[in-house]
Amino acid sequence: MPNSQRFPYTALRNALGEVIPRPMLTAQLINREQSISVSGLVDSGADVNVLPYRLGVALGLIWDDQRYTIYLTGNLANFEARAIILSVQIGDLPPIDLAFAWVSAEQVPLIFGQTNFFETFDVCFYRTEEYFIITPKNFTS
Amino acid sequence: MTLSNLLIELDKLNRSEKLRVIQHLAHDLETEVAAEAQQSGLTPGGHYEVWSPQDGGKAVATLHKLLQDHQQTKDAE
Repeated sequence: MPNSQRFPYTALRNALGEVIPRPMLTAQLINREQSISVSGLVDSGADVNVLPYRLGVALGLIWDDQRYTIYLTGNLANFEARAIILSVQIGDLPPIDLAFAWVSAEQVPLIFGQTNFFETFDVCFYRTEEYFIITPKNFTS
Repeated sequence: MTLSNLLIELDKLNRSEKLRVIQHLAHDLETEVAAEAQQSGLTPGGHYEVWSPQDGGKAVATLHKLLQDHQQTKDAE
């Protein structure tokens, strides 16, 4: 599969002390001249990408400058959110633009969700073998 | 003692004794449920976070609009 990238699951410990493998994706988030390397959950159950507040600040984003307000559901319904776009580099793949709901909460995780991570990449999960593969949609064979 | 026999015996109790049996069983059940909850890490009425934003149609539409605007700006440059 050309341009596919394979990533191992990451063993994370939950509140009960159990170790559970998660599909955590390490990516470089880029906003103009600033960039940070972070790990986020690849979550097919999330409708949108989610960026925690601290990461947006670290990337130089200014809350009041963002024009689009986002209204989220579930646990995130309690928090204000703004729509922002970041350039994201994953492995050796060319950087792509991902839109995030930048949430005014610290404790939320970085999430790669349906809009627009899963619209940009095909993802195959191999949970029993503890790895996953992502392929940019233009390179899917 | 079978349940049928037990029910026959319970029927013989007076009102006050029946009330005490109910209280005893309620307390017993509560303790049992609490122990199970502690074992599973869950507590009745507890708050458990699920961060995946689902049914976020408006949020999805907003992100699509932003992406569209962003693409138009890039194309114009």
